Amino acid sequence: MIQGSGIQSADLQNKMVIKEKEITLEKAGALLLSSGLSVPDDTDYTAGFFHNRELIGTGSISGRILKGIAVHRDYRGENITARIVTHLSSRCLEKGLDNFFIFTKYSEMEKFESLGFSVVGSVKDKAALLEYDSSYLKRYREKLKNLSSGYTGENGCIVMNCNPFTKGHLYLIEKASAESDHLFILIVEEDKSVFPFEKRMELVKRGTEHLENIDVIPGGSYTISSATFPSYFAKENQHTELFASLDLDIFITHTAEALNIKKRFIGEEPYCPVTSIYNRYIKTLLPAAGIEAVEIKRLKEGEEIISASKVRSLIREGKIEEAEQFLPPVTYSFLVSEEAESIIRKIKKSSSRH
Amino acid sequence: MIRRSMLFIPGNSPSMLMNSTVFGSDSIIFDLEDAVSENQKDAARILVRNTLSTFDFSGYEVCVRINSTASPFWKKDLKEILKYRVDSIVLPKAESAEDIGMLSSELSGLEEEYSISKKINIIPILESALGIENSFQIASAGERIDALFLGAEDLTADISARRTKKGDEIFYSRSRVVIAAKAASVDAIDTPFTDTNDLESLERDTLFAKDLGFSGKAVISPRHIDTVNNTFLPSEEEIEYAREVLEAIAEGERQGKGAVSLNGEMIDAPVVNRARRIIQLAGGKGIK
Amino acid sequence: MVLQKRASAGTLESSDTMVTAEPSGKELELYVESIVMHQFGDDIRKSVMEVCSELGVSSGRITVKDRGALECTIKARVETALLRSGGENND
Repeated sequence: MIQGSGIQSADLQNKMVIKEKEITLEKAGALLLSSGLSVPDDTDYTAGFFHNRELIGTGSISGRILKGIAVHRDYRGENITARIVTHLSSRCLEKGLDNFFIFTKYSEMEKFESLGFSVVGSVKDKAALLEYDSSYLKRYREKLKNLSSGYTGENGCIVMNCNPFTKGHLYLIEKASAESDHLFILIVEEDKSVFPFEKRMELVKRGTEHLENIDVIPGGSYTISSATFPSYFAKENQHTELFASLDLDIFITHTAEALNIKKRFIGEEPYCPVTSIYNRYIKTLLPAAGIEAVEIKRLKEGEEIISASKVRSLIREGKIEEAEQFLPPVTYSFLVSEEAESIIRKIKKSSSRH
Repeated sequence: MIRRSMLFIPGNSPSMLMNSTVFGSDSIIFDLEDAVSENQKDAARILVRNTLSTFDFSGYEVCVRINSTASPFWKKDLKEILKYRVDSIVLPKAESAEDIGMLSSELSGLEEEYSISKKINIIPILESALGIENSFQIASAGERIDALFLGAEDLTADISARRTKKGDEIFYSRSRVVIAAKAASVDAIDTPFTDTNDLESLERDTLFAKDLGFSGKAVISPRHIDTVNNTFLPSEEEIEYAREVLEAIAEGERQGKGAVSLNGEMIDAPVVNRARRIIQLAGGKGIK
Repeated sequence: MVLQKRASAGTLESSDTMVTAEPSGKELELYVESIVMHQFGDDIRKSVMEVCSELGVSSGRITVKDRGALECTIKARVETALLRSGGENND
């Protein structure tokens, strides 16, 4: 007679019947806190996992990020996590997302890797970012490698939002172009800025046609995106240092490597606290990775430092003509055109930093 | 049919399904109902079907708990899983002979379509007040019925009773199910014990069920199988006595005697049948 | 069978496989990732193609994330994903 209990293996333990359903973030609160996680504040969907009507697991989706994944202490073991991640992943896939991310504690990185996600970047002992479809990062790197394949000199890089493209941006670009053999300008692709990405990129391209050694390219999901640096766009400074480190880890490991970047140019940042923290990290982390961090003083028009937020303030106050002095012709003529009307209306209503 | 233990295996869990042949229960119930969420019913039936076609289940009674006849899933469940050998269909929420009739027709149709020669059994689960009330009607609703199964979790919810380990609240239902089953000459299977870790209480619960007349018990954890199997095994004395009975009968036949006695008592038919059953139970499980 | 929409089946649990199927307007493309890619990558591809052939699926994009599942499991998940994608399984 076969002795059932003689076989010791986690796989043969009784598979509990666990039911899942959508819950409110509040309900998940206690479970998240007891797992050492903070309660996210920007979720689109939260799932609860129940055993005998008791909440034993939870996970949430915020845009393209899976986060807030926690399992009750008494039920730990990768099976429930796998169940949670499967559920959230299926949801993302069915919503048409080809790729999505998990943002998690550094200590959990391996667990999610074993579920089939691949690491995009990490901050030791703090956090890790993983993606579902590893072909995306591969293709990103290949694309960048192809772009930079002809350029054998000292490649430079600037990452900019350009919301909108100002004389200050142009100044920074011109300086960087002069100090690089070839310059790559990455435009932040995440569309959380009032000027849509396509427009921002277009203005930069047109406004820099006179420079021969530059390429203006989309930043993609791996450069200051909602995945790598969500708080960049948030109202308060949430975990800025952590995200700055994460974004830069990704920049160094993937973007800079694939584009063979030797210098990254940044504009001095007097106004925005998030950007100034980010710049501080650039100056510390990049040199250690063999990339020079070059900080360029802001262009002044008279006494005033030129900044995109200043321009947006003027627009908000209905003083577009006053903004002209800060803008390259290509941007100004866009602002006074019909096409810009809806954007101008939006600016008048908004109050975000970027 | 020897059904001391019937193990539930969740139908949508590959890791459990692929190990289903090593646990050592007498019967395996592949569960397409409560263990599977609504949006995975399709996935589970295909997975179970593939499991049935891949593994060797000789020595086991292969059962499938399909979804209830009130659900939109049951016919598709049958159509898929009967493509491979299934011995019994476990029917949840059975409440009347009509439920059995509906299932039976569907089975007949599929037996013909798939050229299945051996008739498929039905094991109804009585898990509501109405089910318990109609237990004899259900038990005698046709040749396919081979056992009655008591489902205490849903039953206690239905009657607003509090489910306890001791089981006072299901005492009447247990007896009722045993009586109805025996009156219809079918097996009675007791409800599973739900605390996977409390083996001591499991043993008490199982012994009590056996004493009431149940011939087997459902289990939801492989850890419960040994206790349940051993509890429903005849004891050494019972086996010894059964052997003596059968030897006495054989001896009587050799001597041409009509009536046989053992230890001064006449052995009549029920005693002989019971002895045969005990030897079958003992022998069937390799015990000498 | 013609695939109509993106659908997935299976889980990321150990011994299971997660399969996503969607229409593509092109010939059948198969992307396989497995924790036992080295040893079983080819077998997995073969199993997937067998199921596609049985169901008459000749166009689409199928992604398989395998976590050490047996062939019967992989085939079950592929079949389920294809049927869900073809719009036939309206459970």
